[in-house]
Amino acid sequence: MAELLKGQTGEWELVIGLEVHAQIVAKAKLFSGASTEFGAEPNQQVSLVDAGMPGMLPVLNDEAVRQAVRTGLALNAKINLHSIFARKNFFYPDMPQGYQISQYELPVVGEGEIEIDLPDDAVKNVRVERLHIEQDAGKSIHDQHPAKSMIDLNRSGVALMEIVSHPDMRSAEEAAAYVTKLRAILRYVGSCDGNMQEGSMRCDANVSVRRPGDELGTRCEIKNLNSIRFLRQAIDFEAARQIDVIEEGGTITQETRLYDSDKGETRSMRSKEDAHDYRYFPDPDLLPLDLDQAYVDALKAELPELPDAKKASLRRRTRPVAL
Amino acid sequence: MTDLRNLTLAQARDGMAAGDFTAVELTETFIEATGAVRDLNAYIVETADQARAMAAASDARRAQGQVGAMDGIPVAIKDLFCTKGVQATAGSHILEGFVPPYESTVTQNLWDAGAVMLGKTNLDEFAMGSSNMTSYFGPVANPWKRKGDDAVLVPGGSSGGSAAVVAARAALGATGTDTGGSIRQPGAFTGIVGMKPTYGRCSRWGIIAFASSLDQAGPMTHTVRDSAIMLGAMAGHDPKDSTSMKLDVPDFEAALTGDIRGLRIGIPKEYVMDGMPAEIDALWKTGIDWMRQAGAEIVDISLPHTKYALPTYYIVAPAEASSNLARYDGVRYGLRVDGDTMQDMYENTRGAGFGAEVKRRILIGTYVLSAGYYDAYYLKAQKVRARIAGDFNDAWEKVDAILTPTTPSAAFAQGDKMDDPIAMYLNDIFTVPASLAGLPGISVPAGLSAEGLPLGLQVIGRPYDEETLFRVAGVLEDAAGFDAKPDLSGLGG
Amino acid sequence: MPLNRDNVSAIAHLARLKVPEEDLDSLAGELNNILGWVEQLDEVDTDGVAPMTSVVATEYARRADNVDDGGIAEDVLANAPDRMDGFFAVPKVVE
Repeated sequence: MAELLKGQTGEWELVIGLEVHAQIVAKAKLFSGASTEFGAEPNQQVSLVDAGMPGMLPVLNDEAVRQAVRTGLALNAKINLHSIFARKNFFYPDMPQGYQISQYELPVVGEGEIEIDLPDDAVKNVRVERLHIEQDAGKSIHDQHPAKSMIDLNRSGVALMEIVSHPDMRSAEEAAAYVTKLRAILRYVGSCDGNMQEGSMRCDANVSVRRPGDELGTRCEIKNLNSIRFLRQAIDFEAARQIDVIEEGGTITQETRLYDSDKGETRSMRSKEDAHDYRYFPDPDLLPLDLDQAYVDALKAELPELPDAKKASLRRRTRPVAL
Repeated sequence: MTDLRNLTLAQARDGMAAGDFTAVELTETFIEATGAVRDLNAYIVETADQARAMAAASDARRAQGQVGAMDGIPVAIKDLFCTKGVQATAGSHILEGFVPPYESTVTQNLWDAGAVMLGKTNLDEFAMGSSNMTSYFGPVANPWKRKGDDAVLVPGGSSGGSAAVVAARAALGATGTDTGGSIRQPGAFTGIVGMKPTYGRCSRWGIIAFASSLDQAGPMTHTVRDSAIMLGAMAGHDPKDSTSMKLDVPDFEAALTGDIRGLRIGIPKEYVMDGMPAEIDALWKTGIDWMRQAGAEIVDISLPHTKYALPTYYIVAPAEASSNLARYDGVRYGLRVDGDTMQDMYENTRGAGFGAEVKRRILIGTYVLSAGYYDAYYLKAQKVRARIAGDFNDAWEKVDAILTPTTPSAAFAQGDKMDDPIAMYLNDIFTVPASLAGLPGISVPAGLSAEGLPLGLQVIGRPYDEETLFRVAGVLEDAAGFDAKPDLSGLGG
Repeated sequence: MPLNRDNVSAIAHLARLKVPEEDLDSLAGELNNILGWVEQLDEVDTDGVAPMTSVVATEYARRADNVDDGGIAEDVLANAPDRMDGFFAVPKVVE
């Protein structure tokens, strides 16, 4: 049982679910042949597809599928042999198509599980709800001009895995342990380099508080946490903020928040104020992703030994000596 | 020399092969014709210089003995296809001035086959319409007029400019795109052959998208033979389009054997419409007789969900369009109307850049996909669509092709039906079902209305069986012997 | 339930379309006509029918993981209404 937080009016339980965006290790983008290399001049690694030019069409990079399936297998997750790419419709200047190609109702990977390591050799299982493949957006730079934002599409269309956990974590420490473990697994598998500074792994935290035993409270989503330290700080700040709001008689509104690491606080994102209605529907430019079991089995057979298996086998091997 | 304008595409090809005239001579004739029919407002951009250069290159190839299937043939391109270095607008203000740095696969295929580009033709804005009235660049006039009536008629749509230039003998062929009837309906309204191939037969890469699960490019020509030749040049698998079918392109022209003995032709009882003009029904019956006389077996069939095709289409197509047209946001190309904030800029740009019909469809499409309505509208429509496709699958157990009218009326006057979107949508009642099922269809001019306007009959075929479709259409064309031509004498230069 | 002018305004905002206030009522009428007309689909029994999500019966197209595109910044930016130092420029976005 994780520790409870003490407020003015009693104890509170913190509930955290995490959405991790992990850039898939691939030379080319998810739906185009442009490079994914980090650090190029603006708009140099952009194909006409990534720029959302009229009449351009996506063609799926097979490597992204392979890496997503391998990652799913490493998470002991169900691989869905039939999955669908859907369009998530919203406007943002660094999202050239006016929609993000993602997976919605039928993701390529379903339920899985991650065993996280806690202090004193304790472990806890955190359930993974799903893993799906999607496109990254470009980058908006806001500090170069007083009245304008600058758009660089080099990241536009880079392949990501979004790995969504159940709200199974109860403290910032558990959330940190989850991300640490997930990153280790991704690195073992080789599907993501886990480099949070360069943005190849980012984390959104869904945070809510409740009285122990109560129903889940209203959550806020803190976007784009790019280090484990910030993840912990943001969760702790947000939990304290929510408890204060409720204890002062207020209510939490479901919203998207940004963590300001300079000020050490979260704040509401004005650009996301619109009620979201993403109007997901199957992308008619892409066919359903149908895999066969033999393909999945072959990937499973080639998977490297994973951290937990290694640890377990190390334990097995070292036990006689310890005795 | 015979007037080159009156040739068919096949005759022009054979004439150049025989050395009767050169590609440059042929192209000059059609550049001149383009100028002569300018009153039709059929082109958005004319590319005479490019045409001359391409024609000269064609003659040079011929001198080397390297001749493609369409070498030296001047064609017009619907302004929905992106052609490198030439403005592409989709008939919309929002794309005015956009010059694509890329060439669509279909047009590249045509140039690879030796064809010559005369220009980019006018169309309904983003191909949304059946009259060519919704173009930002103004309506297109049908070269045909009613007997004793000077009213300007629509050429149909959305490929109205392409239809008009072929009908007015200002191009030997033109590309169209067909989402719910946008090749076949204008084909019928202008007395030419309009052909939509099976979905997946032609690449959609580089064609400005309207509704991705329905859009297909196809040829618009004088004859069925021309259509077969031109489709052969346009079609083919494209690894850049995930919905392109991995199939070789057969020799469509060779399918025109003139022999349909023993073929089973289906006549769907649901295509008899309340209030359909008697002359449409009479023409259809005549067409059935022609098929029977040619030795085909006529089979009555039922396509029970036909009446639901139009409402299904008017959910699916706007839904896809609402998403496809989201990229026109003023950020990277085309029109930008400034605003203080990003949101203002979006709304100002899209508010000013799109016309009324496009906005209407974006709103409908946005609504039917929105939270709480998706299941009731979009999902329901996709299920009904599966039923409509199922009707055709059942029919293919019994028949090899299906014969129907192309449109429920002849061409109407500019301005008619503009205040009633649903009346306008009904134009496509006979063409939309095959679109939803992804099937090939062809409209063949088959007779004249009492007012002296062309009427078309439609043949629908099995998926990827364009050969049978052309074979049946060829027999229909021979039997109809349609040789009426619009009177072009009233057109200024 | 028929759409009113507020619904139309909300849909237009979702689609980022500026619609003049005075057009909202007539647009609501037009949209309601169309929606009323398409409601005839409710008559069709679609129990157990899978929605038609793709027209082509073929396996999904794949591309190999090769870098064979990009490096065309000038083509990408050539049509930009506003560009600066290799970027697209837009009105400032407040996050």
